[in-house]
Amino acid sequence: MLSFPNKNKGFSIIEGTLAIAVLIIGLMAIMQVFPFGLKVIGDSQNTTIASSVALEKIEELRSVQYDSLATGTIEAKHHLSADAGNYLYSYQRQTIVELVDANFNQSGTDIGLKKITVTVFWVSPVGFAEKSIQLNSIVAKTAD
Amino acid sequence: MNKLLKNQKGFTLAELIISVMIILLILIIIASVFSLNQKVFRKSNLKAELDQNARITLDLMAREIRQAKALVTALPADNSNPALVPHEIQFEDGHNTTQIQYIRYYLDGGNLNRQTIVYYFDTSPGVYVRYNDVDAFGAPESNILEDKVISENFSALDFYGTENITIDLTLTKRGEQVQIRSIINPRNI
Repeated sequence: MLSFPNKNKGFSIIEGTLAIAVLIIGLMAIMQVFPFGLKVIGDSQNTTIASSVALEKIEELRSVQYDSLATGTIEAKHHLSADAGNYLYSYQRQTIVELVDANFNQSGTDIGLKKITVTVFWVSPVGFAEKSIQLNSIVAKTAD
Repeated sequence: MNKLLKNQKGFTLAELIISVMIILLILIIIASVFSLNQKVFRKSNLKAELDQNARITLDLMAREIRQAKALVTALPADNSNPALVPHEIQFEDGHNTTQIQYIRYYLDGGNLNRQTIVYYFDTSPGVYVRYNDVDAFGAPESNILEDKVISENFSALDFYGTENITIDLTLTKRGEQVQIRSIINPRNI
């Protein structure tokens, strides 16, 4: 066509393509945020379920008389459901009962205090790392 | 000035089409980000709602069953036979110290309802008795004092266990599902 003066030069095709590429990469990055947000919500749901199944073990153990409450590992880390299709299969629980001293530190002698430690593990959808929550409860020997 | 204006060249048709195409492309991408945002917003709202309903109802039922004085509903030891597992529970309220009353949680469609029930004999309607009491004429009459919807979107509610009661609940809404379980040890039974 006609020759344009120098100052009226437009963008080259390369510049244009680059600009669009940068824009698309930026938008793709924004789109990644949404699935991530959903995963975070999914993980908070996991935390709710995990704390509920941790609490149920404490509830069970607290119903046992102090003297009948065995010390040691009550249950080794295990899947809460044997059926892989059950939602509880994704949660693993470990329960330990130990004798503690007046400062709630582990001790060998029974002064009438036992500490229940329940840990629930699950694989977080965020980063696929194993996460866990731990609940503790102290059981005191009461005069019957 | 006049000369400058006259010197300006317009766009060719090809340039125009390309620029419109680029603008359209960008608009479509922005619109899809926007609609994705909407979808995710709705889905996360839905998840949060179901989570919250599940947690609140579980806490509420757990608190009342923990203090229950007696169970009316017969519960199987475990859920190995789903046909035997009840989807409702009735128990004697342990929080009300002024009168003998019973609380019943049951599903009404997708709603979780909570009833307060009292039992009395016709001879003295003002005196509330236990559900299994009998007088000369037999079993007592019952009266529902209150029947309220506590929560929505329930698709399953199971109770089982003898000493420790397991509450198993499932909430479903628009394809989203939340399942949660807890075990309660009633202190007064």
